[in-house]
Amino acid sequence: MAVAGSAVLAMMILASVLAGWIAPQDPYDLAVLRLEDSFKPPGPPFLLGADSQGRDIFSAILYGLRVSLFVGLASTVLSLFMGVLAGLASGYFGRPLDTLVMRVADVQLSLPVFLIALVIMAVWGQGVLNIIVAISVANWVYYARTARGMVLAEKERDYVQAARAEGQSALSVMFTEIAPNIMAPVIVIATVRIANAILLEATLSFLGLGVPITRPSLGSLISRGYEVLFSGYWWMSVFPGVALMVLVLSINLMGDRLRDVLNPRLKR
Amino acid sequence: MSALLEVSDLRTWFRTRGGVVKAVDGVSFSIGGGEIFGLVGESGAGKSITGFSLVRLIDPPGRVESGRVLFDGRDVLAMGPRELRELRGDRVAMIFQDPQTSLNPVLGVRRQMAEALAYHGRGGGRRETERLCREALEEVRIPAPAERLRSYPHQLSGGMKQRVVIAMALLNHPALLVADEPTTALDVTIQAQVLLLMKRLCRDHGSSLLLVTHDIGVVSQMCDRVAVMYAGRIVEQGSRDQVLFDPLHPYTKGLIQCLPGLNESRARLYQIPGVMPSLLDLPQGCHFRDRCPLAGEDCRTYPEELEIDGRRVSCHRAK
Amino acid sequence: MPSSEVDLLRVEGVFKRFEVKASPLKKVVVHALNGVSVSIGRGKTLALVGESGCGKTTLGKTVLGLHPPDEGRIYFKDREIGDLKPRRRGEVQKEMRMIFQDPYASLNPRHKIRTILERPLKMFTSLDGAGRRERVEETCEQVGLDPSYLQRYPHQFSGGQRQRVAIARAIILNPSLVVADEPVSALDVSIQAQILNLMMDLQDRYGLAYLFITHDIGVVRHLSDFVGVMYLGVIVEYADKGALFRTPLHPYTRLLFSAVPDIHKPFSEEAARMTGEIPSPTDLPPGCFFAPRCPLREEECVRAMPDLAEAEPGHWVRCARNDSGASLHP
Repeated sequence: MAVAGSAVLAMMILASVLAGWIAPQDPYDLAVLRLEDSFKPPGPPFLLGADSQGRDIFSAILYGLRVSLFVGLASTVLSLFMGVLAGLASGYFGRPLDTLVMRVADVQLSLPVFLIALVIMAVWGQGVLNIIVAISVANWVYYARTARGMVLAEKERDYVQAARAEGQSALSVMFTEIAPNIMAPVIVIATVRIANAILLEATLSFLGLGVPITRPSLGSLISRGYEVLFSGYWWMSVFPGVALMVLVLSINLMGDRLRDVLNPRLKR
Repeated sequence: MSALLEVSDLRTWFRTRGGVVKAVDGVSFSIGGGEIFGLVGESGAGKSITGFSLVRLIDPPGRVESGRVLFDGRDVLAMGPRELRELRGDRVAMIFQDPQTSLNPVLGVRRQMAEALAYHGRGGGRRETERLCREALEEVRIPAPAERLRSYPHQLSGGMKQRVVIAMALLNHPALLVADEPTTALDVTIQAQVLLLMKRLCRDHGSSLLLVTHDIGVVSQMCDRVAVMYAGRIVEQGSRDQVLFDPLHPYTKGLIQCLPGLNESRARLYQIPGVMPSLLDLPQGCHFRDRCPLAGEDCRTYPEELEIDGRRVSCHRAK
Repeated sequence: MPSSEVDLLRVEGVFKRFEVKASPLKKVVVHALNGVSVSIGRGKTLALVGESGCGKTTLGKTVLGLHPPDEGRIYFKDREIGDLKPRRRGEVQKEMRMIFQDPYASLNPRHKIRTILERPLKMFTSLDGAGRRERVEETCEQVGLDPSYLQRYPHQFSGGQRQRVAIARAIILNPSLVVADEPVSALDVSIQAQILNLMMDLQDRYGLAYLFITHDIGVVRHLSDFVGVMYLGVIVEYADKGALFRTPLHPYTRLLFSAVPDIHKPFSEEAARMTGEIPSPTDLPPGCFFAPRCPLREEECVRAMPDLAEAEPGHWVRCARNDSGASLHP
């Protein structure tokens, strides 16, 4: 199952990267669009149908995949980075920094992730960079908590004491000694949260609070199709929806497997 | 006198991805009633696994492959689940190494001890159970036993926890106690108390004790008979005096010689060269061959067990 | 205060307390060190022996600067270093190194052996890459490690080999003092012998001084020059090895010796009669810490903690009964 998931995921990533070449049509080149193609149902040459402006849904999905993946990945990496940094500092230096960081985290955790990202985007407005930052800010806490817990445990271990006894600076101990040893569970969390991030972005974009119209993600596509869903033009929503579902599913399957692979190493 | 426990050619193997680990590979010994038997060896020798195999406490990927374990004439390895359950905790009791994890942290002492009784149909009624438990704690010299019954494990020190474990083990008056490194996790002065306690209780109850340990000093204090294990097999066994003070196997000799503290000189300790071979990669023939100062061509074939003087040893040079 | 001819390390009246959260609302104080004074001469081995809670590990770490002492001073080559963190100690820190107890935890699992060994060189020497490589390989040879192992990670090694790496890490800077905290306790007997021999060889070759922390009386007997017996954060007896084993004076020392299961000596009656647990360092008994368990206990023992006094030249004991010359045999 996991292998199938990884294969599908790999295919999707590849497809999105090569979108420029394999898409039958560049859906954002206005010159190519013809209004008379609008609302054409699935059938050649529009494999998955056309939207209200004659855009090929299949091509739109390929480009949309790109945006979804990019945002999902970038925001996960950024929030991982932020969270681990906060967790390292918090765990290593202890009070008062620890108390401060953890209280902030607690407050943030009492709010739904979605709400946090929503508020940020409502204030900032649409934009790819905006949404990446918004999702990162909403998610850093999960990494911080885990990292901090691991740091507290590792801090007491002899190899850290040995480094301190050698006169290594705190920063050096944190980054050279401790950090490599806490990454495994953090990465496990990341594999779960990538899918979350993608869905979060899709939801926000669906509501018009995510990526701008000019760079639609799968979520935006679903949104556009939603408006005309009940008029019978189902392909505009359904296909991007299926694509999103398959993407998230394959990430989760791969993540499960990754977790199992990384697990034996967690036990020392 | 027929032996209480007779182990013949016991083999416990672990099938792992890296190969078959023959943790216990043809071990035979016997323990008489009321006897204290020491199974000594370094880590990886297979002594703990041997102890666990006696009551089939081996989980996959390990399996007791073959052999016979006759307890009071009945083969443990052939027992059905119900017979086995009756055996464990009642006729044979185990004491494990780490007192911190031997007791359930969320259950009180009284509850755990009562469980041990109830499971084997003893201790009818609350007051009776209470009395039996309290007496057991008194026997192991725990101060204020009535209060201790109401305690939780984390409120007890390591030494006390181990005493509770011993008390629990003895509740059902087992014929055989199997103790796996019971004092290794304890401080030296506490260790002395607990060991002497175990010795006295075994004598008082007439129980036998199989003491699995790496500590030769402990074995010399406690045991009537000793078996030395190396890489899955017993290389020598006999009475305590025979094995420890007149060893025949080069490994036993080496082990005793390299103990520090025999005298106060700073002379270099005798050291056995090399390390115990990995159980996945044993040398052909005698397992000790690569480290033995007396190894020769004939050591390419595993030495037969010889009986000399009422003791047994597996070495070509033992004659 | 006990001191040897030329003091390399001098510890004077060191106290160390830790605050620990026993439960969410309750904080307890662990009195790890309660006035410890010892010294080590160049090239000598001082063994600190005791059971859990005696503070021997804490003392080792305090000497190295991992814990600043709450009271007292520590001198290394006559320079006061007690309140200096390792970073601030400069050249001095290069001269004192530590070997930790657990070979499975003292090496960073994510670092290659080479990285682990080069780090102290990077910190304290100005050797370039080639120079460091050379020194690392040289040290490996000295401790009996095949240089091909340098590319590997700690988990690929056995306990004995990891301890060799730890020893290599300790001596690579040519220190004058090595604090060894139970360096062989986690190893099999046959490997213990190898490592102890190695440590003795290195000491002879380089004139190292050892602060050897252990609970193993046999090891103490074999390789120490001087012995300090610790109980609940104080030294209860101190003497050169011969004197201590010939005539142990403190009741705790005698209990310790009699409790050790020795192949040539059956358990003594004393051990059989000993009751009582080791008190917790969070709850120190009044007066002499050993009083609750001591067969020689008198009124005066509970009233005040006796000072460390020289019962015979070079043989110090902290016991009221010994001072008054009362009989040592109950």
